[in-house]
Amino acid sequence: MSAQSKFDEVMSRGVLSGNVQIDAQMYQTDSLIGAEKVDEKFRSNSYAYLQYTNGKFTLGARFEGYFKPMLGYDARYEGAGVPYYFARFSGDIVDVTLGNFYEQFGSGMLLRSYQDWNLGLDNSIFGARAIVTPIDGIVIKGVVGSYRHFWEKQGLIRGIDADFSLNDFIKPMRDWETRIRLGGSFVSKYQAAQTWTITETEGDTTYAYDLATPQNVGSAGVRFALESHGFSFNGEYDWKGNDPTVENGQIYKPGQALLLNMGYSRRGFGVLLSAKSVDNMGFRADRSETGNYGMINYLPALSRQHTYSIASFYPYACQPNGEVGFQADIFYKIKKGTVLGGKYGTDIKLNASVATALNEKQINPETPIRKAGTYGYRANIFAVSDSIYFVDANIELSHKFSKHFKGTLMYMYEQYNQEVVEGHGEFIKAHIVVGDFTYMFLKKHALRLELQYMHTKQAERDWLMATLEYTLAPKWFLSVSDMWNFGNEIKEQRLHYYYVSAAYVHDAMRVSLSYGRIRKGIMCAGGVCRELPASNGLMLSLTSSF
Amino acid sequence: MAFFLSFAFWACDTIKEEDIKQNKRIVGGNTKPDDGGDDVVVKKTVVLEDFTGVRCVNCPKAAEVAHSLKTLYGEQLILIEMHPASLKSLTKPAASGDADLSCDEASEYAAEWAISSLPQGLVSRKQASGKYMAPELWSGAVAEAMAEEPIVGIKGSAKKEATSIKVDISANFVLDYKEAVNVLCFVLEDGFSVTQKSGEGDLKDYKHNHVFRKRIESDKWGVSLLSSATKGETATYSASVDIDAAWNVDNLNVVVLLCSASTHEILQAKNIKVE
Repeated sequence: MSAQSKFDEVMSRGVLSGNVQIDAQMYQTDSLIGAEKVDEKFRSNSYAYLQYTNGKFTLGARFEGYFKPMLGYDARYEGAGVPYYFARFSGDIVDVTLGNFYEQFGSGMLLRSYQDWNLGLDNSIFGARAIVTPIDGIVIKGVVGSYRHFWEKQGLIRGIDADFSLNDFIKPMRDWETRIRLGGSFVSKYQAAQTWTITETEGDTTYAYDLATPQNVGSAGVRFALESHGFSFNGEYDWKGNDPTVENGQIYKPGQALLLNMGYSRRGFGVLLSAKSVDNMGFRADRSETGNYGMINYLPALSRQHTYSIASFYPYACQPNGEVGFQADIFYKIKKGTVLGGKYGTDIKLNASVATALNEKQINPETPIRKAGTYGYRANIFAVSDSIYFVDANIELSHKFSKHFKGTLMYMYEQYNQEVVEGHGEFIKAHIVVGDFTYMFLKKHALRLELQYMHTKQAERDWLMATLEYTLAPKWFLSVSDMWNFGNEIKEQRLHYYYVSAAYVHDAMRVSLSYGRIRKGIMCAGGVCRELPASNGLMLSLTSSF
Repeated sequence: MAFFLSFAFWACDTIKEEDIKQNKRIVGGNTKPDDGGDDVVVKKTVVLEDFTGVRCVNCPKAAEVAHSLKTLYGEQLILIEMHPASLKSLTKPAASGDADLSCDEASEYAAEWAISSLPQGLVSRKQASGKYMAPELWSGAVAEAMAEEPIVGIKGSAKKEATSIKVDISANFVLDYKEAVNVLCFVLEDGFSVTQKSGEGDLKDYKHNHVFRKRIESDKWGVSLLSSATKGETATYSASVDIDAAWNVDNLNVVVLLCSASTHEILQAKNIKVE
């Protein structure tokens, strides 16, 4: 075979794949809901990802264009370019990536690089990654690089992670029904020292000091997971060296975090209990960064991620400076053929979570808690404070009444410390009820009615929402909804947030057109939140993959 | 593997408690500001633009930082409170009957520097991670800016006339400057007493001073003063602005900013009381 034909044969094995996403909105000023004038009237975010795979080699790149960034996305995204590109070799033992990549060590509390466009968040790492699997059950990862910061790169991250699945490489354990995994990580950040001056007054004299800033901040973690006969138990403990940042108020206390999960499941029943203690564990590529940017790690929120609009009005995100959280999640299916189970059975979901501040104590009687340029405070792991950040207790019942009709009912009680989570507002206590009913007819047709009600004496007070959806599977989808702030104390603010939407799906392409008002609020995914400004207008969204 | 493990133990700088604070020094207010470059040494004047709002609960803490820096540096530090009208939910009056401190020209700057949350600040408009910075960083940035050598001194007057304010300044360069310089004049007003939201609830009769009310020049980056300057060169500039009925003329100041025309960094500034 000639060199040319060999080359042609190799190239013919290559596969090109990718996806495209275009979101755009025409903005209308709507002073009633606080939708500001948008000078450009039209803004759009576009993404196109292309990947070429040939055997063990992959090349990929993503184009991004923000003309200008849609409301709610950081203005620093403005522009267009290719901020994500890589070359990867995936061998049997060694897997090497050069360029951009996403990575997570363990639960992510030390290192998590990920992308979520709903949050306007992309913190991919640009550098090199090697994943080595010397024998079955042992995976060692090494990464070095900088985090993406809009169109630039930030910090220098070095990390190593090892994961041991004992049953896979210790012969006598291979047949055990108990599975055990152990792991450990180390992550270090480098950032050049900088001048941070603080002032203190002693008597009549004011003194200035320069704070020493550590250039290398190290962190380490260990984790384990055990599964046996339906039971599971896993946990991770992480520690971080002194890391004064804007976020923690320039204190030098080392950070620590502990996450524990315990569960049991069998057919028709499942329970998961979780506990988490976070103590000064914000970890960013730049010590001056705040908001959702430059985060090296990810601190999960122990709370249910609600999908119903009103139930997610006041969502919770983990407070990296200090928090203790607990969650219990129970699932039970009442068997079919019983009084409560009916012909198809009934699903019951119970969920409760609470998050409080960490109980912080002075390091000595003279130094106020969290004083800049000190070790800040003392706190024990799981030291619960009486300052509540968040409470959510909810019960959900789902029942299929007939071949054509099914319904879900949910009640939720929530407490939300808006001042801590959002930096403004008040302590909100709310009762929420949701009813969700679907009627299927003529094989491919479905009508869904969703009713939601919130009662609270705080913030904007009572809300009511109704949504009617019509689906003609698998191509068409229509939806009409109205959210009404009927309980607002100010009569003029008892507004309707109407919204209509239509979508068409063809193969791997989906196009949707929507029109209506979007309430100012907070959108969260996985405990990370972003502010969503009020807007009114026509929205277009197109996604396609090939 | 051994390399990575050894790295794990070394790539962490631990700072002992006794080593955190370094270079302790006495500082105090400088009551002798820039003298206009006549005889004595010209002193650097730094500008802190504090983007703030009466409904922003974290802003009073930032104001405390700004005021402590003002106490420290005296007239060598000029504070400007920017209340962008575009961030209405944070800047519109917190109580009925309160004066509205927000203005559209502050919004122009907020948009320019992509400021969407408060409090944030700029120190002499220097480049620092997106230009604006959180209050925790102001003291270090001001200290760094203050240590720079001044290149120009400013002297001048702001006189109240029948319906306008007339500003006359002269800029006396004490060093060569190879790039173009723009001039910009801001009208600031003192003496507001309004309701301010805070972490401890509403603060009644909270004082707001040096509030940005209007830019005299139509262009947000000002007008050209010189295309370049040589040591000893003097440039003069005059401008006037109509007095707005909402202003209390007895509480007005004009802040003159000399800026790089290309980077917009503030090279020198002067606060002039309207008389």
